[in-house]
Amino acid sequence: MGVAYLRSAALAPFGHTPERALAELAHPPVMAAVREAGLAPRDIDAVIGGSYASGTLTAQRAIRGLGLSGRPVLNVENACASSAAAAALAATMVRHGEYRNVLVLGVEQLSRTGSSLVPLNPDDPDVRLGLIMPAAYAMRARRYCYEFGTTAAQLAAVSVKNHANGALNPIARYQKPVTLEEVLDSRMIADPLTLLQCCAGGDGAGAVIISADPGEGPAVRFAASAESAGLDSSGPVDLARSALTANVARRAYEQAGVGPADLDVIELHDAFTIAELMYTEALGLCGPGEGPDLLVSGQTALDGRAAVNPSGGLLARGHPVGATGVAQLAEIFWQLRGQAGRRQSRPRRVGLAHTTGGGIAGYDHAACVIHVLIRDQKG
Amino acid sequence: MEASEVVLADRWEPGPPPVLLAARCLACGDVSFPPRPHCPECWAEAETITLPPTGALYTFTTVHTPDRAPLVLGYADFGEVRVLGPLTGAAPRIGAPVTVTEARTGPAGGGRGYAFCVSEP
Repeated sequence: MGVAYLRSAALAPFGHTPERALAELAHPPVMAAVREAGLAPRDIDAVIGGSYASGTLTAQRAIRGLGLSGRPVLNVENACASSAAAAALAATMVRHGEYRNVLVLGVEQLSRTGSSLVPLNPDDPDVRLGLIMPAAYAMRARRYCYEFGTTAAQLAAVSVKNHANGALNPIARYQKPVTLEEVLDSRMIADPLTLLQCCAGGDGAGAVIISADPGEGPAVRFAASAESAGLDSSGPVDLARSALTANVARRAYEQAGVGPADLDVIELHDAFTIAELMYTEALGLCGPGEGPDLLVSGQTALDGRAAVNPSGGLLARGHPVGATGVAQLAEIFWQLRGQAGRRQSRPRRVGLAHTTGGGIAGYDHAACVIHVLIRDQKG
Repeated sequence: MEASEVVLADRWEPGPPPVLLAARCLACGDVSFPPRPHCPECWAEAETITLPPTGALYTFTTVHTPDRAPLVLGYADFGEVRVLGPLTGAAPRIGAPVTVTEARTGPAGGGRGYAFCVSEP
């Protein structure tokens, strides 16, 4: 079995741009990723697009006019994990040796859906009862706080950390630090989650090249790409813990031959403040209910032992759903190569990107993808 | 939506009294929600049963959206299954007993749906 490398990454600024065409969003990062890989359009063997709610044939529309057609072009839709799943597929294609260079594109334009909420399937039974994603995570937060005695301020502290990181990220949708008071005093969306504890959808695009050849510079290798759908079960699912993330993480660590203590940098799915606490625990960075203490310890801060969401995460970078997986991979890539600018507090060698989500009745989550990336020592 | 339409009619009966429906596998005994003709675990034939009329509230939230009145939602445990529903009655608290009741449900609030009435402490 061969090796798949993350060879280049590029992101367009995330924001709110309903006036632009989808291809306008996608072309700059696609062209930048191909150029930075030292490749030409003819070198790209396949294109895989990840998007969620931007219409059909998103990848074909996004790459029109770039000379990248006339080869396999696939579209992956798996809710929040769409482009993370596209990258897992691309890494597998490269490892098997049939494809040398696969371009993975994450693109989303939610501004054209006319709602600030991530759109859900209107026929879904839970959606018919009034469920929206903030409510789903708010109910997790309520249970978590009940079981572990966590306070509203401890939840809000996640948003303060991630907005501080986002303030250093030139592609983040929100580049302004926020105070604990501002987070707690922002409008209530679904108690206990206030507005600044909820990610914003919006528009965004990014591209990475996954290749059999690491290209110039330090080599960043896919050490693991594990994924799973959640369980479709009406039994008493534990909403204060994420069994899905824990299970996928276990497999990712086995594949990569590393454990949580080896991680230097992590991008995880902080769609809401409670999510970062639960997922740091499910990834094994700390035990159940210990997420708030881990945050306070500073170990997950930008200059901490294992920075969590140095990009600002979904909370500050924004969550144009289909683009999030690629955006996480891009941040890990830059952190491992020492190219993260003001967000680079120290050299980082082992990184993890975790994307999960999707509101669907009966499932704990629609999908979860975890990539482990390692910068090889020779770099 | 017709005001008289029963929302999610596959999973409850208005009664009286209103009850939630579930599937019980005729082979392995697994109970799952909503009712289905087959067991999701072993695919054997399943029968439709009614769940206990009283459950226990597992978690809840109040949803504030610009286009409608605040909506209180929660998960409650009825026997072996955990079911999502709108809440009515007393102020919700984790562990509170709830009973199945009927309420206006749906995005426009126009249909007949199930809800969980929280008992007074």
